[in-house]
Amino acid sequence: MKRFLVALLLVVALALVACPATTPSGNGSFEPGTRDLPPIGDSPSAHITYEGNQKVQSLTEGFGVYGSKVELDGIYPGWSGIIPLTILNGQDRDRLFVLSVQSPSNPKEGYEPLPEKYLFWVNISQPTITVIKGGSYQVPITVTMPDNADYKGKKAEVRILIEDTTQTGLVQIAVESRWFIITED
Amino acid sequence: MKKKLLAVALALAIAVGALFPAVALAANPEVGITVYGDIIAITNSQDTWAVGHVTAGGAAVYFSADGSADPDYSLITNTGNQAVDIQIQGTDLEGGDYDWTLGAAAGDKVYQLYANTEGAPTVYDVEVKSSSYVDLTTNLAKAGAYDWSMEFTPPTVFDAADDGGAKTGTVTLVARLHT
Repeated sequence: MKRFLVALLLVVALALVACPATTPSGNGSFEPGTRDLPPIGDSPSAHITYEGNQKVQSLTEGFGVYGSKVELDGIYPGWSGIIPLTILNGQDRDRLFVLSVQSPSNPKEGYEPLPEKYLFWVNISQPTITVIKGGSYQVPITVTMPDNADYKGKKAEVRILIEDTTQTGLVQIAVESRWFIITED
Repeated sequence: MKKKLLAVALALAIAVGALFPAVALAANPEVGITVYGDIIAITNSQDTWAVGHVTAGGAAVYFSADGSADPDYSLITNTGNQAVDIQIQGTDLEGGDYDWTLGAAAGDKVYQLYANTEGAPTVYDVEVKSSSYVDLTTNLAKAGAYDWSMEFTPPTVFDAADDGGAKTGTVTLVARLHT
């Protein structure tokens, strides 16, 4: 009987420690000005605070990105989270967009460009998407700080560039979302 | 009997772990995620430019309807809801027998491209580079507009007999939140 109890306690302890390692962090609270986003794919939803406009508005011309700036404060080795970025197409036909992660040459004051070798921390699972005219599309962006990352106490900026590849003219336009990452001390 | 009890305990433990992940999450520091729900978007009124036939060391050609200087030819409009910075970047010209490199000054198979500063329409002083984005205008307000154009200077040297054919490239304007 004693052996059974010891085994039971051991198994329970192991299960509790191991289960949530890949779950995006969330504070679980519901404060004013915040909302939970619907799950993206099979991933659990992330609890994100929204500042500014709470609703994604449509565009009547051009294209754009909802999420001018994203801040992640206090990420640590082993942390991973999913943040949606919304692409808006206000143009007169369906458009093919390509998203890419960029290290800025002129980051915000007090921040450094996220080093090139760490750009893989920001993963765009769908780098190419078609957005119907007048529509929008939510792209999941996964940020992961690897277990063995040696980047404590840093403030870094990274950008997500959105290009409309269906533009044919010599002069083309693109938009960027600025992401600020602060790692735990 | 013991084996059965052990199996039940194992299943129970897994179920507890799956149902109450927050128990373990609580040990992790909290990460604050904030999304600023603003839209970054711009439009640009003119996107095509056929420079036409050029000669080595020839006169500059302008981004306009007829190739003459027209500093207000194209109009960038901020259609988002926050002030933006707009940067510009060019590319080398490809096609024909030799590519032409984008440089700070025209040279041997090197062409030059400058954009103008609004408010100083006769001055084309924004050097367009292929290696990086450079500022075209900053802090363009919501619903604000910016007139602009470009000045193309052909290479001073190229062999027209050997290097015929059309060349193409792109100029990209990128908008991002002004901070």
